[in-house]
Amino acid sequence: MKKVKSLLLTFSLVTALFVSCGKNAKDELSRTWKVTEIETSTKLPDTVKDAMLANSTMVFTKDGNYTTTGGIGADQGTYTLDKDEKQLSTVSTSGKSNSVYTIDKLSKEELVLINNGNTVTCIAVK
Amino acid sequence: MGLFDEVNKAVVNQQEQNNFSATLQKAGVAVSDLKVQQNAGKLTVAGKISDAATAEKAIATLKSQAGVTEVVNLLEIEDLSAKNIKMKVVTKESNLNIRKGPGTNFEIVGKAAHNSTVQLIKRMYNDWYYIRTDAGVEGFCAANFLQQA
Repeated sequence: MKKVKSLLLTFSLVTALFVSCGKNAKDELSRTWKVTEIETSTKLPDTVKDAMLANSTMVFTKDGNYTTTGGIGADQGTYTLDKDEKQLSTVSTSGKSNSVYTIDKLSKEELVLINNGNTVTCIAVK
Repeated sequence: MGLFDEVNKAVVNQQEQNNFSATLQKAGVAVSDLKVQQNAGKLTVAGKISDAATAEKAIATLKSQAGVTEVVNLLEIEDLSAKNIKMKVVTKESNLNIRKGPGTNFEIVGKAAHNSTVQLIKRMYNDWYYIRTDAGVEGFCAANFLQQA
């Protein structure tokens, strides 16, 4: 009986751990991000890069919506994370176009996304 | 659209600029600050060249590229904006047409009054200038209607 209880407890803990992990990724993403760095597969002139960095933000909400503003472009739509939380998929409201981004880094402070060989780094707005 | 479509678009655009630049280089044509806008086979080419012959060679080279149906030539020989050169409009009586490009085939975007003064901004590949009127209208006009003020 003691062994069964112990197994149940272990199972509960592991389940709780998995659930909390999944929740954390979305929780970590759900905030306002300021775009601080753009690395591209082909070098862009500094003026073009600076214009895209100007006042650029990404906002993700817990209910699965996103909004982008600033030089990076104005857009809004919905997003989902894949099972492994390594990929972020978006569906833009305008034109209903889909995009998939690789999450290179996601913490409470930093978000790094890659798409088409281009990398965008963001820091959390406090 | 998406999270950073503007970045991806800028990269594709830059790759195109690099390809056009490489094509011109291969043809022995030197164009600095090259900017090519592409829209359904129509190229609008801007940049700095040394003379009219180089401009013509550049345009001919770009026209020969696959998928290119038309090339709009906005190549310039010299940026004159810092020199603050004022010229007098010497039309017979009428106002001077200011156009969207350096040629009479471009649409008229404004007028410079007869006997008024305009500032030279750029000297184009042909005998045209990019100018600014006192009223702030900017565009292209033929050099033979301008005289030192």
